[in-house]
Amino acid sequence: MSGFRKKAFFAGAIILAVGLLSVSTSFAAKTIKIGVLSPLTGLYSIVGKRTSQGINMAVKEINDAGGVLGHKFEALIRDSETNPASSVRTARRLILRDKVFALLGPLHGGAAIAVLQESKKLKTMNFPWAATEEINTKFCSRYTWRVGSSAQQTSRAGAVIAHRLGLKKWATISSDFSYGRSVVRQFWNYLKERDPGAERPYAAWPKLGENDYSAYINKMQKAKPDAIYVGLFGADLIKFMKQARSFGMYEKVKIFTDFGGNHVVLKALGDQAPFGHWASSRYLHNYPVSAANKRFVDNFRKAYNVYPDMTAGEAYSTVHVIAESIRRAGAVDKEKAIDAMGGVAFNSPEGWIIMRPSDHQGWQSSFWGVISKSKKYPFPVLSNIQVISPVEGSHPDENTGQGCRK
Amino acid sequence: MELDVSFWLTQFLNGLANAMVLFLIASGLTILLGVLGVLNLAHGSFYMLGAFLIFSSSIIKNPSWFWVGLLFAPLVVAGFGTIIEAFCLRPLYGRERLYTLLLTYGFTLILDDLVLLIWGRDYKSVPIPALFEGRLTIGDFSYPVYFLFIIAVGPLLGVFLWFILNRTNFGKLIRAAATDSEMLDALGVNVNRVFTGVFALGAWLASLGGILAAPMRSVEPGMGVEIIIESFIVVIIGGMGSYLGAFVGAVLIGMLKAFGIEILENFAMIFIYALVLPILILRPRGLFGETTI
Repeated sequence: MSGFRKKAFFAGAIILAVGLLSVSTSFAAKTIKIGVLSPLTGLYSIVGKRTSQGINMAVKEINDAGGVLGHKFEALIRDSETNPASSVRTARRLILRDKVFALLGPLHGGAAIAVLQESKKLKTMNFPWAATEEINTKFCSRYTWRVGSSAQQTSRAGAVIAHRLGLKKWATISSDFSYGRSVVRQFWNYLKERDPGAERPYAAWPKLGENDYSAYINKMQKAKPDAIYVGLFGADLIKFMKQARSFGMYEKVKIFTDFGGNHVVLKALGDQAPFGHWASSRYLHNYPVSAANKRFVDNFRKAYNVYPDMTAGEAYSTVHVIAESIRRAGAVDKEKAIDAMGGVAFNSPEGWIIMRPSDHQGWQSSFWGVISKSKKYPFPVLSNIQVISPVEGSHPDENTGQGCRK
Repeated sequence: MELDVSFWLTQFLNGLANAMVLFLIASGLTILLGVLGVLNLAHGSFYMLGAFLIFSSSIIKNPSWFWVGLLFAPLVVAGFGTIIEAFCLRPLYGRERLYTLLLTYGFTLILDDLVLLIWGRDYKSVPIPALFEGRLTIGDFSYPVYFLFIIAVGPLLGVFLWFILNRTNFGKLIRAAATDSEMLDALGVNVNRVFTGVFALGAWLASLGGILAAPMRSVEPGMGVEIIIESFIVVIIGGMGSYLGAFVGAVLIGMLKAFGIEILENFAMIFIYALVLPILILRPRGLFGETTI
């Protein structure tokens, strides 16, 4: 009797185990995994944190709405360590072992280029966070796409504003590395194109992570410009602003900052922000005043108790664009989704984003505004926001994307 | 011509302000090297802790926040340094230098992540204390008052340090320990206590540097690693164990950075290493040092 019970119990256990296993495998087959490489440690870990939050929110929204073609989304978020070698290793593991459908990130330009070449080899679409222009040109391929703005979009849009305001004499400052150089080059070339009379007596190229800008600021003041264009970002931008402020630059010149409209920067600067000066951000929590943006900001605040910054907004939109491409393809298939990606349109919190087939770049407007105190928010925000449409030239030439067909 | 005078004067003061922050870090680093024979890579982390603590006190919306932070934060960091020295570093004194190097390097990594855990990942900015807001303007010349404050504090602390080292009993013990710690031990002096005191003093100075730099710079993990490299260059130039050397070395580096930008802007960093190279070859003990590293 006890032998029979033992056998029955054993058989029951096997049936149960098989049942569970089949449930879990069928569940696994119904999952679309998204691999994410973001800086979770170190200097730029705030970016890693905000991108993860944006991604998790998009994933939750997609799943709450029933998933895509009966598949749930799942995000596998890994540390990119800003190091090309380890980023590539993690990317390979995500693609080969975890079988991710698409790869998002990393942020650092050098690592991003290494990873996009690897994902091309392994035939998986990759959306780098990096804004370097080379991603749409030299290093572009069938597998490389970007939803977030590129560096040239914001800088060229800045040149449009600069030209509108009729500012002639410029000094520029940006970090001495590929992204930093590209930001200022795009701005300056585009301004010169529109206004050949513009002159630039001084261009400063401090090293990335410079602590003391006072010597550069002194040289800037000596050049007596009407305005300065600042391509610095993150902590470097904050340092520069504080020092420029103490030297009285806020009163002497018009300041344009490419990255300065980003919420995390304005929040850190607080009362020391350059009020009345121009700044841009690739995503703004207070603009456009649309249902999509309001819903995003409200949900983000409810979930994380902070306002979404630029990187959160872009990461959120990227996940939705991938979902949209799968819906458009009508099948959960990597190659078919890529075929369907060109022309995908998504009503994102920052307005419509259309994935351009030629250079694989998300078509979108750029925003520049004046840094202002706000009654509604306990931190500075952009107001008097100018929307520069991609048609107005904030996008590079259509032909630059030739490499993407490779 | 008038304009040029104010330009050069501004550049000179910029170099000096930079030098004074560097001096506060390098002076502690060099004394530690001279007395304990320890190259403390975590020294920059004390600078970082000072900056993070002043950030915390700046959250108190009261004009006296800066003074409260300036007084208490270095004491907290010095206390922390005491614990590290007494419990982690002391067991390693008899061993090869590599061990202490590894240990202190480990601490830089731990402390970088610790500040992330405690203070979070957001960018941080410390405002300039209200008393030092604004600029001093004389004709064409205009200079931030806070920078002048930093420039004034440096030499004051230098004199204070000189007084401690040359006119107090503790200073006498430090100098004796630097020369021959075994003999000092044999004379019945508690050398361990002297070592701990020196370590705490170094941590106190470094965190003071972090506090002074915070309103002008950013407060972020990793800020200590960068400053430790420059400070170490200062120590090489000035000479190990010489705090006068640290002062001269810091001023040299500050001036090279400020004026190097004017002469050959994109190569300003090279000037610093160009200065270190001949010193290492021709005078390895540094300008004021007595022994080689």
